[in-house]
Amino acid sequence: MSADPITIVIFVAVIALTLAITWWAGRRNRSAASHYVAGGQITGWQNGLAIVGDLLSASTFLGVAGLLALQGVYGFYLVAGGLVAFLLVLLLVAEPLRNLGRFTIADVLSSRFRSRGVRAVMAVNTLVVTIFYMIAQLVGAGVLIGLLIGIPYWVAVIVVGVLMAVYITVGGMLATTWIQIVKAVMLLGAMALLVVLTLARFGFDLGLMFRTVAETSATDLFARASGVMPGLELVSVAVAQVLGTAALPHILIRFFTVPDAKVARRSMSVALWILGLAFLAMPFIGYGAAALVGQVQIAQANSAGNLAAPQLAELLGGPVLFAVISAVAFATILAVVAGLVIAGSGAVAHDLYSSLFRRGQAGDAEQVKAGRIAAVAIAAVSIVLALGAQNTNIALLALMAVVVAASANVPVLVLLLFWPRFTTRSAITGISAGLVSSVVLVLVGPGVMGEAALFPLSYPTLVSVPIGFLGCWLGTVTSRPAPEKEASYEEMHVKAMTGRDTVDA
Amino acid sequence: MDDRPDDRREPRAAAVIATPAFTELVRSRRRFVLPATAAGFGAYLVIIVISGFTDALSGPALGVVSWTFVLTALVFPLVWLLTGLYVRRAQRWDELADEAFAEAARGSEVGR
Repeated sequence: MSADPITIVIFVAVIALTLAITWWAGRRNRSAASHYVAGGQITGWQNGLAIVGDLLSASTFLGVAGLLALQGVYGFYLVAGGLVAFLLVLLLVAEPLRNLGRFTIADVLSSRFRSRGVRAVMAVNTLVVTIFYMIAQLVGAGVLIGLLIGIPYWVAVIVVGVLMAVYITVGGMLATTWIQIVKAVMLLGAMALLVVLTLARFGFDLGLMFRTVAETSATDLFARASGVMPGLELVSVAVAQVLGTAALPHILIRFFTVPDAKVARRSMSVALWILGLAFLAMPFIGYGAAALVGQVQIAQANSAGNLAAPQLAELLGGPVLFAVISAVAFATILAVVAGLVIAGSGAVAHDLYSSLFRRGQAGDAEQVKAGRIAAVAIAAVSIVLALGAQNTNIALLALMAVVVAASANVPVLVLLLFWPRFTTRSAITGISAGLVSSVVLVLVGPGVMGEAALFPLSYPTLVSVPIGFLGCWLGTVTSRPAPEKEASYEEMHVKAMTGRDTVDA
Repeated sequence: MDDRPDDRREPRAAAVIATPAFTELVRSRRRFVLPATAAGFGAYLVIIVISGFTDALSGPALGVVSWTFVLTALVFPLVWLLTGLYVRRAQRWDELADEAFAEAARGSEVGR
């Protein structure tokens, strides 16, 4: 596809808009708190929209539309799983996280354990998840931008990488949040437009639309095609989608940007409503593409169906709508990688550098500087890795991130909050067990080894999450019975439940 | 929050936990959160497991649309319902948290 002038103009306008937001935020980005968590002053609606933006990544919008168009209901299971994941976040962790954390997930663990080892292990884990996820997004961005406006892969990766470094170093979390909000609104508007235009083609007759989908597609898109994926694999994917999405660091740190637990709660409520509506719109876009564009044309443009939504846009609204949808997808990529960089750089600069290496002695200005340097370093490393990974399957990289997040973060966060016997050692053994088992099982699974796989499931969550819990339990039973010099469970319990401090006895 | 009047001293964690209001807060929270988690995650998993291992939900429910699709779509209103119930109950939990701290502060004054 060669670049249409109108496409170039709209892409440049999107970049200019994000840079304007960054410049505006940069003038307010002075302290460590404003750099890492936007000063904790984001409102419920703003944070809700930013969370929606984080979850509506390019792989969700473009990938799920393609899945629905080519493989049917499987794509619908994935978005429903994402919504259930966010319900669990609201019910179990959103408010305790807000009450206990400051800048990073490791802060939450440190609210109970003063141990430096716990912080280091959690920071490394955050970094692993973030880097895998980011390479997946960057490789996807490079391929996608190439398909949409015809520039070479390496140019696209470097442009996106440099832009994300600029967003974070200049604008910090405030810029990241507002870029995410603006993009979420644009994407939601674009999705609504696609749905209305699609329905208009069928005279707003849902029955007619679904009958047309059933008649024109090669397989039954509304039921699970038997033999596409074994039952156990489907269950494993679904569990990974729910637990992994609920534990992604760049989403969990959003709760540190709001002032208190009430606002955290409101932002999740906003996010769940909007996200649900957006996810319910996905079948109209995916099935609409199958019926109007045709499965053969979709598969020809991209075998995974990633261009189904832009193709549908071109058919419904010509080159202008194609350019708009493509530019919105591009904005989505920019916003999500910016969120990933801030999560990763927080782990490096706040946890590893300020808290461990400088033992909390770094001043405010030094912490901001460390955050900026870490952001540039992470962007640079990710660019290099993404350039080398052009032909890697991006679903596999995103899979690794989600499985590690589910296996290493879920057991530790749940037990930390709700199990009085949890200790420093439980946290370290639990995170390590979850991290190592999930990486190893993915490496020996069908995703990497294909036919020769030693382990039958591509998504090993059904095994690696229990291993994470087992690791925590082993750490607890081998801990010394004498209480260490740590904040008591009681102190943390009261703070998690109420958001208020108590004094030591 | 930091904007509270200074005359309210921070009580000890054990004193807060000992208050009836805190006990009620923890119990009430648990009584809602555990069943709600089980309902939301459980409903989704049941659909996935049945669809994954059997063809029971593959037949048409509404026109050409299958049962598995319709039931998955119904997970959405279920999630919204549980969200709404949680947010409504949480206002009571906020009050209980305030009460627990007030009771703990009174208790420590009496003890002194």
